[in-house]
Amino acid sequence: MHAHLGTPADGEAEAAREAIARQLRELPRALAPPVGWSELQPRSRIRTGQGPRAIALAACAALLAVAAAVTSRLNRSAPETERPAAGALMARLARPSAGDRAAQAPEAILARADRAERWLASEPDDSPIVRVSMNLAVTNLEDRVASMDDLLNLERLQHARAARLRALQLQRAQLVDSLAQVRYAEMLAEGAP
Amino acid sequence: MRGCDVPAGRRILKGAVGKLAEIDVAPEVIASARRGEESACSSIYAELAPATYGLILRLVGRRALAEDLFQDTLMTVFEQLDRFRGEAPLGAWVRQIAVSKCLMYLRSPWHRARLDLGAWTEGGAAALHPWVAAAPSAESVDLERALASLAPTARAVVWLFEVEGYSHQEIARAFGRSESFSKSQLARAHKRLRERLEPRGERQSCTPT
Repeated sequence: MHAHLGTPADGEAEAAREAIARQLRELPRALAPPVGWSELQPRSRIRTGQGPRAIALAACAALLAVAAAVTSRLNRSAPETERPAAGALMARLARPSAGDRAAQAPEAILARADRAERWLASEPDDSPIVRVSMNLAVTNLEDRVASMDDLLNLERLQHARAARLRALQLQRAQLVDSLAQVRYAEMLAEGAP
Repeated sequence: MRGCDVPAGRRILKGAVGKLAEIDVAPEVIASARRGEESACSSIYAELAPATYGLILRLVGRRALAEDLFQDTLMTVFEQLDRFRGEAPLGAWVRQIAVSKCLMYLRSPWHRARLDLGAWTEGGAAALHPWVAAAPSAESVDLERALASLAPTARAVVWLFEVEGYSHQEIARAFGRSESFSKSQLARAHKRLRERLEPRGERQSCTPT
């Protein structure tokens, strides 16, 4: 029990806070759900899992989208002034070669994903030009990253082993990396600097 | 065998539905659901869905997003039902999953920008409407509007603390932040709510008398 006496203003503020808290607790908490069980069930069956195969498929789709965008870009002539900025960005985001062992280390993968994520957060969410194939690849990868975030949080709440968390973090990093590649390809296709 | 469906709509459910964390389901029904029996799954869904959707909508504030997160949450619940240990009511476990998914969105810089913008565009009014429609008094309407005016993170913290009974430690852990973050968000939320709910005539003058 606190011995000090608060000011009258403190008492009033505390009383106001309690009153608001009481009113909040009286607000309704339940709402008829947007879908019934019969609608949710088939969607649950369609939903794919989080396994390595699903991630590999998403990454392949992303790489195909990147290849298509780069090819499209190369077929158009780009102003000289665009190349240095694009090159510098690509250098930061580019995947290292398979032989580069240091770059394949988990810490390097996570650091690269961190850089990619910061760049992605600074880019506008929606492209002004909607390209269906890329949009699907981006949406798919964003969903996968969000699902991986959910899984990571759930695992942490359930006190999963550190090795398990690490493996999930690396999977997430690979997805973020793929997403950055696709978004960069999207940017190239739009001719953005 | 088909179980009974929860009718889709925007009805507020009053009376019997309390806190999600207190909703429990008989162990034999859970066991049946784990075996894939549809009537058991449907029964669990009917018990949990309204409070789960209500909580998610309270936390994220946007109806379209809440619908996505709700479906994601319930799918996760049924996919991972084997992990439920039965040490607490099933609703408490579902609440943990729902809150985790909502806070993932609030923590993500990609999504937070959309939430901040969406609260004051088409998503904002649409999300507010079902609560406002069921508000029993003018004071409740004012409180719903005041709650909707909060930033997403502050709104989530004040709901988790004052209504769901989370401690600052639990909120901090859920957000991946410190306890002082939770306390400052709560203080900010209360200040904002007070300002919104105070009648104009009673607000303190800026000039000394």
